[in-house]
Amino acid sequence: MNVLVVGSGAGAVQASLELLERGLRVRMVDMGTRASPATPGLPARGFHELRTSDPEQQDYFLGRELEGIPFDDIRTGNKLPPLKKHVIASDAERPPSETGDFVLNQSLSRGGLAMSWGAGAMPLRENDFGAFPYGLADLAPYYEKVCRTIGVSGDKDDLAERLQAPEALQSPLELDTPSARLLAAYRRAGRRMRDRGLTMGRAWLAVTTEESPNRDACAYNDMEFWGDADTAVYRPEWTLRELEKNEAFEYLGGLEALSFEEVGGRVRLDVCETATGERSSLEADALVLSASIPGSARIALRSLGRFGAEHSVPICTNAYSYVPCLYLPMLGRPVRDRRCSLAQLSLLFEPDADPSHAIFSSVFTYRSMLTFKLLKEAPLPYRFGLDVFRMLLPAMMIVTVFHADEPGAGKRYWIEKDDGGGVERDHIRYEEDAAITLRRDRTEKSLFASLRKLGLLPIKRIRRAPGSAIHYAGSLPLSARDTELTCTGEGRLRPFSRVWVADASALPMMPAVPPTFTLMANARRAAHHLADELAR
Amino acid sequence: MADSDVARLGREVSSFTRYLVGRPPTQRLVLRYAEALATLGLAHPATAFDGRLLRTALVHPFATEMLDTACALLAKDSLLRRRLFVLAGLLETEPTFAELFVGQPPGRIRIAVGLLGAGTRAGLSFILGAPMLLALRWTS
Repeated sequence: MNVLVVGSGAGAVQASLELLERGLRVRMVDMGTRASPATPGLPARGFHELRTSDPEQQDYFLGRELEGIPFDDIRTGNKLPPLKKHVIASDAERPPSETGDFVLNQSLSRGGLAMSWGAGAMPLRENDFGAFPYGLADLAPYYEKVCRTIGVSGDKDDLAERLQAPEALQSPLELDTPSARLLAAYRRAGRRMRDRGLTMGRAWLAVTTEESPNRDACAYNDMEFWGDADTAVYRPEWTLRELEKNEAFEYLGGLEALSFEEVGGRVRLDVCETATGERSSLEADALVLSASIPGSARIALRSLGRFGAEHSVPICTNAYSYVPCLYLPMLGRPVRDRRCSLAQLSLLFEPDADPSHAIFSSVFTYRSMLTFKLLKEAPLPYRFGLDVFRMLLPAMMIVTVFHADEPGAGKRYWIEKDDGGGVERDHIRYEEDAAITLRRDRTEKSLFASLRKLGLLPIKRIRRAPGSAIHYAGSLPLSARDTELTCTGEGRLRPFSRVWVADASALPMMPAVPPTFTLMANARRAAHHLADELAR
Repeated sequence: MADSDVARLGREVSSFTRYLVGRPPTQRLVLRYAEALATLGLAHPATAFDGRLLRTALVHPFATEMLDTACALLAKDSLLRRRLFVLAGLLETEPTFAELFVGQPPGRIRIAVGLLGAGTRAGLSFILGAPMLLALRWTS
């Protein structure tokens, strides 16, 4: 028995692992773009040391084309670092699209979007599963498996009480100076904060604190945001390398999956070689779609010949704000150089019992970002701005705010063929209900009021266009209802019998908590059920 | 690039670097700045106003701060602001200037005095710079 897996991202590698463990053969079909060979490597040295000694630092901080200097509409925090720019497909690489204000970032790179993810690895809460055809208990064993595969560090603190901590959690990362003070302030405030609906804890991150044969332990170089000098931060590439050592696994790069057809109890996948444009077909006993969003939906719609708005599918994304804050107790205080530059703390803010009203936030310290980028956000003369930010930098923290999202009539994705040449175009219409936007605004204000009590002063709220969070979900959703282009509780795509979905397309809503850990667990679960099905 | 252009760019980097960090530039920084302007399409003024603004800042280095302050509110996308922004990025990724950016912070009293001083100076700069900027904008 062999299975074709389309895509190489976080979900695809987890599904492949599960299938191989169950004795199946896997061929992975992937566009698989990579960084240009001229892309410089990231030295395995600390941020401070590199900044004060490396004359070539511009290559990885600003990029050789200076793409790290944000002009025009690019806002601070809205761009991948130069060494990761290949992860997001350029306009020339992706299909033409009309998405309005919706920011649709797609990856064609080997390893997918998770090659540049923030490594947040939080499971959903029991009450997040309302729209799922299964519950937390069904997914918990797969969270556990994923946790062991990718290596998740975290603490069993207040946050762990709200989220079910996997057994395999590694010891937490060391906190940097401002975050340790902020967490201590939260703990001192104790019940008062929890009564306001605020739960704070160390971020659970797919960053290893324990060395293993395949992974490095975090070196606290404060360079993790800028690139991968080692393997401490999980990337699907690390799993791909392990998969490629397995003789039952084959990676077929440079191929675009076009459409599929079920023929005589098997699946035929039509592919196009990206270098030559040559078309061919691959056959297998089953197909796993894990080409991300909208890739998986595009392939499914094309396979069924469903073109036009009347055949649209849902799309969800986190409403997202980016909030630079000043942490007053850190003003004028020295900070340690030894730190990890990813999220330090996580916040869950639950204003009421409705899980769709919850906010998930990550707290970052601005330490290893570049000061000059902040100048863009402030209407100050640059000299004054540099002086001010240099003085305030150790006290600068960034809070990212994510809201849950549910599908709706105004949130749709479809493909359309142009009348002339038959060129396909992606379309997205994304209109949020004004009442929901207003409610989110009020919830954010309540969160900020709680943060102010801890000494963390929000300076400015930068609201981002929908899609900017680069979290998308729900285009081929798990559903108990037997409807075309939805997934069964096991992950099979209706109306097909041999096609399964193993990426965020299958999530029936977008939780406030970052979805990557959940989509990986769901991919494992879908692959498990697929293996059961093939065994029958 | 013509010799006169190189000399003009050298004077510009020198003037702007002293304005931003109070130190003279290195020769390497001048080269990086020239390359950056070419890469980012900022080598030539797109409008007559941008040209006048840059020339004024170059001929009267003391005016750079006032013009930058006025532009921060009244002409955010001016070439002067863009070039200063690029230079700030280059300065920050130059080891010679790194300690200005990654050093430990001053004490709270120095921060308070520094903010007060810088704020007062910025206010005065705006009062003086805004009429200059408007005059440059409306000069035919």
